[in-house]
Amino acid sequence: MLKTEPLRLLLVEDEALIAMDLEAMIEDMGYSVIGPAASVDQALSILGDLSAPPDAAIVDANLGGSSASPVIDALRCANVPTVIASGYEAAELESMGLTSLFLRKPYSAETVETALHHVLNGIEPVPAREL
Amino acid sequence: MTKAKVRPLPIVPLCSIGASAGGIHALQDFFGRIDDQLGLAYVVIVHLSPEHDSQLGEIIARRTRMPVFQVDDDMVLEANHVYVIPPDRELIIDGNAIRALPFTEPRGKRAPIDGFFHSAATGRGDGMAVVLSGANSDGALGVRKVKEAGGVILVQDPQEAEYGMMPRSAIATGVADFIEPIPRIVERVAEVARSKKAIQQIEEEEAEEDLRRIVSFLRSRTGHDFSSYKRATVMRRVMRRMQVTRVDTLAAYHDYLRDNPEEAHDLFGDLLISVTAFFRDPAAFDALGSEAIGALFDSLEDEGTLRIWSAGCATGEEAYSLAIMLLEEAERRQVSPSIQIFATDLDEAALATAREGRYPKTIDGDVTEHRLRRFFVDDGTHYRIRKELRDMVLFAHHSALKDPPFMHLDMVTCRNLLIYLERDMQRQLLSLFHYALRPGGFLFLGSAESIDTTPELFHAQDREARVFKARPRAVRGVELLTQQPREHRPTIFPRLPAEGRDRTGSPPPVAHKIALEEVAPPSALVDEEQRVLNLSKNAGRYIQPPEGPISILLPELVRPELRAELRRALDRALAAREPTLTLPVNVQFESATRRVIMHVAPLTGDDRIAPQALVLFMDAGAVHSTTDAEPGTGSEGDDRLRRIEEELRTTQERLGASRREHEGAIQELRVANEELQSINEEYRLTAEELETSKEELQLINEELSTVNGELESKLDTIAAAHSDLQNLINATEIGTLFLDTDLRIKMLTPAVERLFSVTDSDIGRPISDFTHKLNLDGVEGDAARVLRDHAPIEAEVSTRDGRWLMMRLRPYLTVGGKIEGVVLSFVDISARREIEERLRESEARYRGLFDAMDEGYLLAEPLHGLGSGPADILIHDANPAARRLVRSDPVGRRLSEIAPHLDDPWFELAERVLKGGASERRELWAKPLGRWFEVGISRVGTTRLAIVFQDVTVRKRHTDERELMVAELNHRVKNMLAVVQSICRQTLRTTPDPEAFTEAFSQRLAALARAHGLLTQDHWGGSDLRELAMSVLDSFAHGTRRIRMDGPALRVPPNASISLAMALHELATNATKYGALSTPSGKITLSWMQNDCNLHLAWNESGGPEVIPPTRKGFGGRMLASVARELGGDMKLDFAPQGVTCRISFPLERTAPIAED
Repeated sequence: MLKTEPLRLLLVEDEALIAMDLEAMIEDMGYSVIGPAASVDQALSILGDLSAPPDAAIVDANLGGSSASPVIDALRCANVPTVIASGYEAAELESMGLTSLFLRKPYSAETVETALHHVLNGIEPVPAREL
Repeated sequence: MTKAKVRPLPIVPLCSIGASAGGIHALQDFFGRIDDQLGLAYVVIVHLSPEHDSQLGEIIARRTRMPVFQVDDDMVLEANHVYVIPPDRELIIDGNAIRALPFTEPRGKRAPIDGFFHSAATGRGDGMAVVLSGANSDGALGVRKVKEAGGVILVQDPQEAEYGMMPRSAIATGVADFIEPIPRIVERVAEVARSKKAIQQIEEEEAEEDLRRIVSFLRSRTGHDFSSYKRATVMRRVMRRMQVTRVDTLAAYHDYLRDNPEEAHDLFGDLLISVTAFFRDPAAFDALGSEAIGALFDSLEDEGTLRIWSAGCATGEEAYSLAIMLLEEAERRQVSPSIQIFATDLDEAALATAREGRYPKTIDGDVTEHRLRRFFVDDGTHYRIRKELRDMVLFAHHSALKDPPFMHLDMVTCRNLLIYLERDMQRQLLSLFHYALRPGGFLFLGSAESIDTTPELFHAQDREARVFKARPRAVRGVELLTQQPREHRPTIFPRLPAEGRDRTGSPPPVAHKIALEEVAPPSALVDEEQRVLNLSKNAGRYIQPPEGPISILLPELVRPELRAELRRALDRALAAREPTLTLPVNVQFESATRRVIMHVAPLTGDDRIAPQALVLFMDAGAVHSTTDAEPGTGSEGDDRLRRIEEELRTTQERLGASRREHEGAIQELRVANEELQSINEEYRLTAEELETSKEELQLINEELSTVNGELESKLDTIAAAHSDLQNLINATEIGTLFLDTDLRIKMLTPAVERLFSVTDSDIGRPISDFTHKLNLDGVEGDAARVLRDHAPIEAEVSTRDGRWLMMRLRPYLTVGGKIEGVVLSFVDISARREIEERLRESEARYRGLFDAMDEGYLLAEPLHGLGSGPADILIHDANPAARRLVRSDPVGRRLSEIAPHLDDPWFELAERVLKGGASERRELWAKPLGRWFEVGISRVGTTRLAIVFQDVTVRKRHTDERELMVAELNHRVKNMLAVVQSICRQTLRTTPDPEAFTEAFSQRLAALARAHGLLTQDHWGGSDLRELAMSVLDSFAHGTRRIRMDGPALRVPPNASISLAMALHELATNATKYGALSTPSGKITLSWMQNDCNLHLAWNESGGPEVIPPTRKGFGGRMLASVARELGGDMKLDFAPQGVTCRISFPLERTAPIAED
């Protein structure tokens, strides 16, 4: 086993059970988890506290009834590859102004891994691509 | 082929007969007597009514064997046929062709007899014209034309005619040849026809010679030479005279002319008939202007009067010529004297022409263009004398010879009248003119006339032009016109109040002459050749013509004893011009021998007249064979001497007395003469006045007939208007009743008869007498009110038979604006009322719908601004719903006022519907009102729109909410599935054994479901914390009181509810497996409190087995941590040996507890 630092992923998910599951799933994949943050404030606070930006992020589009756009905007500014996860349809997301790789809920470990693989390898979805 | 070679059929001799009132009897008489083989064609002209068929033809046909025809359009005359005029036509003849044409003149001015006579005169040149009974003057102008053309005029004796007016008018023209009763006329016609037939056979060469003889005889007799006249004219006139005198050959006429001195006069008159013209003989008129008219104006005292007499004016040209010259002179001198011209003539027809003052266009040869312009009006076919000129001339029927003269004249013109007269007559007429003229007045004669007979009265001013000047008057008086025919003698003498005189006798001079004729010795008048010109009444006693051819030389005609002595005496008298008395000659008469002395006196006149001599035969007593006539003894002689002296003395005394008586008589005569003159003057003035009145009356008469004509045409118009009105009334079926001011019926129409039970026979009765079928009282009162107030009344009234009528009462206004009654009109409006009623019901029904419906309704009209689309929309109508929806009354307002700044789509929609015509329905947002409307627009007509709209704001919100909810549900379901997936994966991670997994997974899903159930129950608005906890924990407590809860009622948001429920489920599961619920004595307390903005929740277990802390972090622990994170709070789990405790704090806004409803 190579002694390398695992990639750090920021998770933002308000639903406690899903966040728990996603965290376990990501850790199973061998990544290091930051968070999970349950709200915009928590996510921004965590981002602000980090010494280095995360390598990637998975963000639920709706956080406790609020749009996750501030978080997504901040991640984009920091050039963090981001996957958006949501129960919404792609068109609905677009109307909210969210354009990014889109992960439809409920998701499986495979879809999460593919999405991460895409964003980490710079395969940019245009404009919102569903996996 | 020239016209002359193709001679038409010989002209059938024509006898035109004119008759009028009383003419039928005359015509019956005429045709009953006339020989039917005279070879004449008879044309009968009468005045017929234009409206009726004429029976005239049949009436005449019963009296004659000749065929009788009513003239058609076109016929050809045949001899021994009778042609009668058809009704309403006039007849025109040309050659043998006779035609009936419609009248060209209006009815009042028609003169068919004149017309036909005129046509016969111009179209044929001769023929006979017969004028019978009639009450007008038709034919008078015509006979003159016929006469001029060479025809013979026969007139029924006015005494015999039933109506004498027409014959008298014809006679008054002076051209009648025969004036006779019908039987004599019939004879005359036959004679004329026969002589005419004979005349037509006269050989040309023979005629030429005889005509020359006649003309030369006429010259010797009258001194006037007609040889320079047109031969045809002279021939025609001579032949006319031949017809009148009934001689067949020119030679015979020549003899007749020679033997009948008066015939020369008649022929002369015929030859000179009707020749006058404007400024006839212009040189003479010029001389008159310079010699006389100038002088007249010179002597004129300022604004004086000029009196002129034109005697024998004929058709007036000469009088008007004078008037023109006088006016021109007055204008030149710039004075305006009163000028009066008396123009007189015997010829009434000519005077009528003169009075009318209308002359044919051909006068432009005689009148200069300047004068035509100045004094005439061109009326198209004629020149008419201007009124200014016409007023100067007074025309009168007057005989210079018969009637009293005009007086105090400045000038007399008498042209070509003297030439008709004998010298003696000339002399008397001239002295009459002298008497009439002022001293120094002028006399203007014709070119062939002179004053030679009266050189003592006039002297020549210009002999060439025949202008003479009256010498100053020596004696006031005028020679009496004793030589006049009987009818021309003044008739005023018998009226003189001469006492002691024989009032029935003739005037003294005449009586004297008659007496002279009685007692004068027999005498004979001879001419220069000693031919007998005349013999006195009893001269025959001395005449004894010798044997052999008869001679007219007096010396050969007298008794043989007288011949030698008479011849000597005549020679002496004619040569030496001395009266000679012959010695007594013994002449043996049958009974005795008488001594005869002859006195021969030469008669001297002027040089122009041949000398004549008068021979008087004087009986100087019987010749006694013995000398017993010698005186006897001396004493006897003394006695005789004394007796003779005595006789002489008494005779002288008688003579003295006679002389005195004679002087007295002369004195009386002078007085009578003065009276006569003054009466003359009065008559003259009266005649002038009468003439003026007559002219005025004629004018008035003409005007009256014009007015009458106008009235007739107006009457026609009114009749037409009346029938129009009648038809209008019948056509409209409007009941109309005209009442007068007393409310009596004036007129009614059929439609009103039933209504008021009236008929035409009720006109004049008061309207109150009738009952009517109206459900209305006081129609009379209404009518009276209209009369009083002059204001119309209008009402809808029902009738008893269920009809409805529109009743109108209006004042009856005359054309002059006067109110003369009331007009009631009734129009049946039952049908209209019914339709109106239905319309009203329908209207009410739809109005109710319109008012009650929820949708707003607007009737609107787009208003166009500068652009293509409507700038604004004007609202015309709106229903209550519309008012409610826009919260104001939009009627009459613009859309921009009701909802300012409305979005463009509204206007675009309106424009599209207006242009395309297809209705549209849209949901539109009305920003100014903050509402959504569903709008349906359809086009009404071409410019208006019907807008139906309703507020759909609420419905719209609901729809939006539903869509949102569906989306939310979708999201939530997916989220839930993700949660379930996550639970599944976590459970599998900790409980790989399938049975245990199924158990745990089922319990977790059940907890989740319960939380869901609770949330759904509260519409996902959150849940009460106690209820939430109980729903999770009840299955663990199994109805025991081992789990106690303590805390206020408070509300937890939905997401937190799910998480808390799952967290409590994990805590309770753990307690059942390992904690307080694993033993029967164990208890759990769940308490919570709210502090500031945080909720503090505490889970405390007690009484269970001793707690052994887990070796690794299990699902429950991680989940609790994750829940705390999700809630943004803290969680502390403590595995104390006496019991597990868990504290969770998270921010929660204080909210009102859920109402316990």
